[in-house]
Amino acid sequence: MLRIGLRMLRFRKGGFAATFIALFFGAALVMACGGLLETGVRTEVAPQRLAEAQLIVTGDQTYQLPKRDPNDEEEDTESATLAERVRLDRSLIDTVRAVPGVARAIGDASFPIALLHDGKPVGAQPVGHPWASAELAPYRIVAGTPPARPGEVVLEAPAQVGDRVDVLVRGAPEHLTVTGIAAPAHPIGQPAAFFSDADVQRLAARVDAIGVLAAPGTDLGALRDRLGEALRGTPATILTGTDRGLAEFPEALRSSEGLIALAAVIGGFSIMVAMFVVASTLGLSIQHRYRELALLRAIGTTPRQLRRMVLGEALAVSIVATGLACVPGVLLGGWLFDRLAGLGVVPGVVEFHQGFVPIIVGIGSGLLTALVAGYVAARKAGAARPTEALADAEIQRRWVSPVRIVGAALCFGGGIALAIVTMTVFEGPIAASTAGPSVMLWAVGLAMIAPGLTRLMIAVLRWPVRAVTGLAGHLAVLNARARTARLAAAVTPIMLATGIATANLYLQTTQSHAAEAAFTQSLRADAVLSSTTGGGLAPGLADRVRALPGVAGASEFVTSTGFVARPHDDTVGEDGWPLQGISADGVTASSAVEVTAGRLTDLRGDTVALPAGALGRGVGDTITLKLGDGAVLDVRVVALFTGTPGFEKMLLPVELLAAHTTLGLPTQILVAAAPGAQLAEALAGLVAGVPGVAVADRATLTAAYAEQQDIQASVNYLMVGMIMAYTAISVVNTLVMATARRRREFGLQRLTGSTRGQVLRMMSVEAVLVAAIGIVLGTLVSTTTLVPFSLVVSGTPVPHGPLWIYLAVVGTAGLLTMVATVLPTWFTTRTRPAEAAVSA
Amino acid sequence: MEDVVRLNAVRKVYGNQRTGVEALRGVTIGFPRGSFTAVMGPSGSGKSTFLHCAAGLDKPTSGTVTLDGQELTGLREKALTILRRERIGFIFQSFNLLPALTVQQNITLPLRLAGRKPDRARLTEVINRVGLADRRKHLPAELSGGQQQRVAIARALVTRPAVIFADEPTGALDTHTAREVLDLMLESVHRHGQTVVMVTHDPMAAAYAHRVVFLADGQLAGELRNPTADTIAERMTHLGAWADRSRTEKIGA
Repeated sequence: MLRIGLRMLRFRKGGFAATFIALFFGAALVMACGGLLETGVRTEVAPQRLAEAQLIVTGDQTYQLPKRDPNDEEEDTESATLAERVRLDRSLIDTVRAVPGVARAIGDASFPIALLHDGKPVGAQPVGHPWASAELAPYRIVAGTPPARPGEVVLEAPAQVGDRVDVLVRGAPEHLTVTGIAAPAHPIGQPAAFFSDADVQRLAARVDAIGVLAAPGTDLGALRDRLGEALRGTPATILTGTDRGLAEFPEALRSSEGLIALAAVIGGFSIMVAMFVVASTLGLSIQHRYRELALLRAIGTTPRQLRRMVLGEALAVSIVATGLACVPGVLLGGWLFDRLAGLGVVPGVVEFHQGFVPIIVGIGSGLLTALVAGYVAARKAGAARPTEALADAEIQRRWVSPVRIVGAALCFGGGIALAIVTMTVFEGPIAASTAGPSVMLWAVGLAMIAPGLTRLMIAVLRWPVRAVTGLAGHLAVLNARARTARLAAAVTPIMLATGIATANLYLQTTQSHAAEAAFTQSLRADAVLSSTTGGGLAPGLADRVRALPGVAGASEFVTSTGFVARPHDDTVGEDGWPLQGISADGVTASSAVEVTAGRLTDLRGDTVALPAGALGRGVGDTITLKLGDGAVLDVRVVALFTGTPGFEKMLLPVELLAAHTTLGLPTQILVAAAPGAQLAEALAGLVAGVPGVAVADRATLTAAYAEQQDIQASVNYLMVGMIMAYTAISVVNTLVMATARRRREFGLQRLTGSTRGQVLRMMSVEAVLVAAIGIVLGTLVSTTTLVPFSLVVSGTPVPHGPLWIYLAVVGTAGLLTMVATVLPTWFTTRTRPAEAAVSA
Repeated sequence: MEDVVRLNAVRKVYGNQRTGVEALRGVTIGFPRGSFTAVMGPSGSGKSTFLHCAAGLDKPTSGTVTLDGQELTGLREKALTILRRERIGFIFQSFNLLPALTVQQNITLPLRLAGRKPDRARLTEVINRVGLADRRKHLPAELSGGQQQRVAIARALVTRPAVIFADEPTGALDTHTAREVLDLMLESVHRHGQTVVMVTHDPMAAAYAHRVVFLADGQLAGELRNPTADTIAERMTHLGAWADRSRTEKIGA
């Protein structure tokens, strides 16, 4: 049976081209996403500056979220990545050194510095490190001597021995003498500046990592075990092999989570769309071969044999399609990774990995897709009635069946359930997480009853279409009514494309808008001082700002992310709580929050302010926080405030929070003007004397935030774009296949006196009809997702975003339909009508 | 003589019992082994339904159909399919060959479907009988209409079926080619004892049969033995008028 199937497959290549294309691109997309996923899971970063160390001891950046019931073995533990660098005590260097097999243990630290020229930071700025760590790269002294005393530094070329340089360290300028010039043995991404031990101990109290050089002949695995034993109970972890780069680039870990989520969502979406599209193209090819299948039944093929044949065909196509998809799959994966790295979603130092696993997953998902879709099509084929082989006309099948109605009802039930969940359970932007499944459920549900809906829509559109288009329209409507099922097959991909595009694009714009609104609302400052070098602001600067005339208040500002260790907290999960550090002295300037209990001015020492209702704690209670750098801290609640749903945060004293960030310093100072006072001039004057600090007004800040949102948005657009391109390919695919198939019909029509122009006009009207129905249904699909989401995020049922997006989606869908219908019609009517009419 | 196919009080109603169309209204008839029978009747007389029911392609609403001693009514779809594959040959008006398969593959298809290996000698014999020995590897599209119909005949013969059902086998052929095809069918009856039941509306084709059975309005309306084209044509003319009259009467009543 399979041989007959394959033979028919070879003969009817055209009929399977659509399925082939859908599987080919679908598998490629899944492979690409698989590559991103693998890259994220591995997070391989080649070590650069610490490459010589065989083992690296560094702070463990992962955090196991506490369980609801610590004794419950069943409950899964969730792990999160800490937002700030987890540093180690210097004493651990000795602990490591004492472990047998360790030849050397060298502490490493990194701190941003800025070289000043004429009081201004310029060019690519080096990062400061202890001189001892130079041998881990290794760096060699090419001129001069290593730094030995405070105030001495070793730089890379083009600096020269003996130069006296002004350097901004921890926000404050220092005068240093260049004692030596170093050069790395291999290229390193960022220039380095090496400091003496005395300076390093002043600037970095703790170490970022400890590089281990093993004694010759030591078994590294065993050494690793011994180190693990020695470091038990400390926040240290041991990196080996390709993981070592993470000690230098811990931010790669956090970005990997984003990458994994993004790749999983898009990959999952691709599989769903592929299943949908392949089911519809296979269904179409079954419909086209219906007589042939009925003939096979008449001469003694059992339904089971037919089903096996159709399934076999689908599998054969998918094997070839997914096999060939490996090439574009790998290329696309690399391309997407480069785009994401370009957008800053992933640090460029992360190595892109697309091994055999994503390829196998891509092929496997392609085969699975073909199997599921093939099974649906095979069921239809198995139901072919033998007597239909003897009938001359193509017979219209029932346009709605109990199975379809039940299926549709299930999908709609799921869709409604998701909408209810979205509206009642979620708050703010995470409501978007139900959007993907919701769109698919509604789309599949509508697709199930598409023939019935199409019939209904045709009935509605019949009169206007006839009135406007005359005879061509009349014929098109008659065609459409006679062959609802065929029309419905063309309508479904358009519905899907319109639905997915509209829903996802407006989801993004609505979300960006809500985030921007929340930001603007919470920003009370009239001006903001920021560090331009990324090195943080020196202590004391805030006091100088407060002393300026016309300043009503000034607050230092820093942000981080943390977790609640006690009481049990299941509101934020692995994303953690956004933390903001503010000064109690200038609290009026910094925060627009509305206090409902306690006072923000009490934010001093180990204290916190919570959104009212969060954690069930009130003023005077104590909670335990796990801060971004891994520190666990008991803090007393001193105030409650009204939070923006979905954008909740905690407020902490800036001194407290800054100390637990990677930088260790506040990054901004928020300034509020006294009523009527103009601050710009005074602030500009102050900033002129402080290197590495810039002043910005409110609009600049909002714009900067919007830009940051745009980066996130463009990541989403990139990924949604991939899905949309794929869906568009499927639309064209299905339509071309459906149209080219009607060669004989066009031939007959022309033999009975239609001109070619009339046929083309008729098909144009049909295309408009198909596009209109698809767009209406697609809009319905997106509405079912967008309305609950908008209600949650912005409180109105109308999603936020420019109208032109919708118009562009509709226009593109319409244009695609038109071109994909009229062009094949034009091609198939090129031959003489008599020829076309006889060849079936 | 023993009947290969027997229909007993077969009724067939399309749609539901009340508003449905009654295509066959109690037909009882037998087809003896080695006979060549033509079934004739005006359009809408139930010829096609008769063929579908007799060949197990469709299930009668009531009544029984027996094929080669096997009762068809009550058989499940799969058993029916296998029975069709092994005991019945089909020849259709529009040839109905699979365009993807060669002549030889089309002919052996029923055997392959049954999971049997085609017997070379048998295949050669059948192909020689229909005169397509030099066309084995051709695709249907490369053959003329008559040649395609001969392939269909070979396909029907290859399983040595108990009976061959032909539905307007000459409907799409010119007179000359039609004769060749009918001669071939007649020969298989005379030389090899094949049973053939042929539905047609062409008196010339029906004249090849031993017996012509007339259907009108879903009922048997007489038969002719050893017919000629002229006697058949005459009967058909009457039948048309009779059917018209009976229909008018029914509406009047």
